Amino acid sequence: MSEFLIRRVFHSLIVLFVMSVIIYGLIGLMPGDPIDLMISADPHITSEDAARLRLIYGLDQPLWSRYLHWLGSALTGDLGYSRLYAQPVWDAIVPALSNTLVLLLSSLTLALMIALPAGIFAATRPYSLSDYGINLAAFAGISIPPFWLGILLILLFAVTLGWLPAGGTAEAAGAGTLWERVPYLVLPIVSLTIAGVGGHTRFMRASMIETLRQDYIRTARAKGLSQSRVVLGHALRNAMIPVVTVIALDLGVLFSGALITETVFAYPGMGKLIFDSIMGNDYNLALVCLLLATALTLFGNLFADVAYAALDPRISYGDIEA
Amino acid sequence: MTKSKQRIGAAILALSFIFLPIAAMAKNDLVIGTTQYPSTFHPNIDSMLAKSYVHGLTRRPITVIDADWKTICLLCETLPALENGGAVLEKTADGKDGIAVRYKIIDAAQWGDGTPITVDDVIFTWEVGKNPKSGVSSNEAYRRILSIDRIDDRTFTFHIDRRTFDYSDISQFNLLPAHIERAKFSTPEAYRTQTAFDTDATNPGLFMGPYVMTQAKTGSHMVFERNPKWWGKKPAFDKITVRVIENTATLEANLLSGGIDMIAGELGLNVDQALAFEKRHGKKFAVTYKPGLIYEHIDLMLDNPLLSDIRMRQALLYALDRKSISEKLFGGKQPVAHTSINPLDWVYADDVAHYDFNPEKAAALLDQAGWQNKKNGIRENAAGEPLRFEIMTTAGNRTRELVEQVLQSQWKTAGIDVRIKNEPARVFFGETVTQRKFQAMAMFAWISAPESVPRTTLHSEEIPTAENNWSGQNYTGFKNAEMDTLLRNIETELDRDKRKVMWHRLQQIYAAELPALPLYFRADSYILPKWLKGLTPTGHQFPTTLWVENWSVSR
Repeated sequence: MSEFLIRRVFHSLIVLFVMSVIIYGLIGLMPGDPIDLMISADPHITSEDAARLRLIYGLDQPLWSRYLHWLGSALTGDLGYSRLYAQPVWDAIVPALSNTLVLLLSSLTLALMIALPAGIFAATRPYSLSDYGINLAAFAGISIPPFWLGILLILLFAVTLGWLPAGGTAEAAGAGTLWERVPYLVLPIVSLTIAGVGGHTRFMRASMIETLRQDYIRTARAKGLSQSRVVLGHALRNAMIPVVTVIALDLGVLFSGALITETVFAYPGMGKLIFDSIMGNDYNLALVCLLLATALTLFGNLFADVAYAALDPRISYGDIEA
Repeated sequence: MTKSKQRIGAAILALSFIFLPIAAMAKNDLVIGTTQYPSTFHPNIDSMLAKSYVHGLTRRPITVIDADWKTICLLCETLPALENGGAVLEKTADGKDGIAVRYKIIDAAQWGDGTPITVDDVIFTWEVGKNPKSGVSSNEAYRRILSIDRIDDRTFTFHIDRRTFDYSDISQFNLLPAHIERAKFSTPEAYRTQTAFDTDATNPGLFMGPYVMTQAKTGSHMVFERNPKWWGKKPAFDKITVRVIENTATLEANLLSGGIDMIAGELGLNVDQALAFEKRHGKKFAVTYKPGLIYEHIDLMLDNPLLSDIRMRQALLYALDRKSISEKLFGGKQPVAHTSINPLDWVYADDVAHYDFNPEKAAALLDQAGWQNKKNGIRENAAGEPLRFEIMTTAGNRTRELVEQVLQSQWKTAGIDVRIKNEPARVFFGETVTQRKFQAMAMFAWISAPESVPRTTLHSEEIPTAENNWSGQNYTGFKNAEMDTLLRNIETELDRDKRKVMWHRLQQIYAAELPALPLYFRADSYILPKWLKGLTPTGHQFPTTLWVENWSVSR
């Protein structure tokens, strides 16, 4: 297993390097540069100013030269300076990353806490009224556009009932304790949970139905085991394998995909940071953010592979069997 | 009532007690909602409205343009002028016309840490501004200053290398605190990443306004508290929080739920959004509209053979019912533009060609230009080519896209087929407009200032080309020798009456030649609580927050 892990980490590093070249190249190929954006906002910037600023920001250099300069600095631990946020890239990322992790881990946990039992419940009663009800709710969750759901939640709980804040963070309202922070997280978490729970429920249900058709399940039932023992003791581990894959892939998607929720709830997280950095031509920030998203996806896949071995005794990775 | 109902009621009541205090803010606090967070707090690096807005709370420029569009002193005692001896004409060392302008910083002025504001700060600011490595966005204003004489600790004289009519206006000269920033400037190349404005943004010594910034959370909010060292009128609020909420629907929801008290006019809702909000909730809030200097127009590609014909440009404008657009879409709050000069500007001339909606004239001009035949409602020339243009603007800008559709429909009525091809802002401004790649029409806005000479947009030397590395903002490719002369002469003419004549001629040429199709002047919409008084919109680039000490609470 350790050899497998080392090999996978090495592969991941190669992927990250290739991705850094591709991302930097793609960002560089996009039209315009940061100085063009400055000019459009400041009528006082003259042609001489523009040339001087391009020199200062290193934009007079060819793209490959800028990339090599960034790579050299990054290898020494300096990820560069964010022009958009006027601070080192890492300083801009850390608060957004922590906000996103709180939001996404909470919503993912909550979504799984609802989706897994609901999917199992529906799978054990296929085509029953409760199965149809769960499926209907799952499809509704998948189908509702996140921005619309967010606005509806705000209108109901913030504007009409006045129970919860309409967005932002607790600090913006001068609140600081954990208890005071909770209300600001409720609506974005609910919004993301509703968006995620449907898909996971459907995966869990499909996987469990498939597993329950296996011969060894029939054998377990023939031995006279109870339904709960059959489902939880025998079927669940195998049924979880495809679900784990989906959850692992979700990590990367969630990391960069909460943009709409973050925008609607004025929640300063990674989705917004990535969007702003790309639209604002902030090469360093965009590159590091996208590499983080890539790294998280790779880590998710690695986690899934390890989890397969833990879930399925037939899967082993060379030196050690799970 | 059953026990279960009682329990539910008690739970709701408990929830209300838990959550309601979050929304309700103390009355001596003010929470302002805006849509943008500043990219830097350094006053001279990267100009943006979001920064000007919050600096209005914490800083005071030496001079400023007030709500009556007059240059006044905020940090100086008297505005220098030739008439009062504060300005003196002189020759530069190389014999050119120059001017010496003397200012005296008011005696009580001090930074938020108690350090007096002196000529040291003025000289340091100049050194930073003119240093090409410092990262200051626009250093033209600093380069023009040849030298600075220190008269005493508070009095100084600028020796400027040219005589321009706006010699007394140094609103772009944003003072930096030398006692904090000088150490950061030891390596000019690294200054923009080391400045205390970004590395120690809540240091009170950086501020000299009624408030100091005490908290700044990137992308989220900024908190401002009273500056104990402020020498002017005491502001009404102990604390002001500026919250950044980019999504305007969420911004409105926050206003309605009490999360914010007001929406800033400078960076808030568009006029159409504000009109819709006013219809629904106008009784609860004071909604004010102020037309300003943001000039929405369509740049025409004059290299396009069809558009190089003046009759075509005039016909395009005659075919538009801009008054109706202003009234129907913007409730008449955004006035129709006839040139790039705003009617609120003292140099505005009303007696230039106006192109009021006149379909007959448009048709006659198109006929004269050789587009007489019509096929399927679209005009054609003798060769059977349809009269077709492409219009572009920033994709996702709801207001512009709406206006664009109305324009397209009005032109179609006149037999002109206009195809819409929009692009994201960064592509549109990053390449299409700046490298003159639009085929016919580019719709966007220019941000201006009172009596701002439009040299960069109208002078023939400002046409971007590959040879000049796409510098300049004359995207239409407009060339007019008389306009070039006027642009040069207006800048250096000190006599107001003579200047007014030149401005008049400039507008005449603009209206006659139509390098761009003027649409309307954008208005700011302020959504304020009814109890807030004293906030006076300016209509120009200086935000209302510069006079925050005049804001008051009326119960």
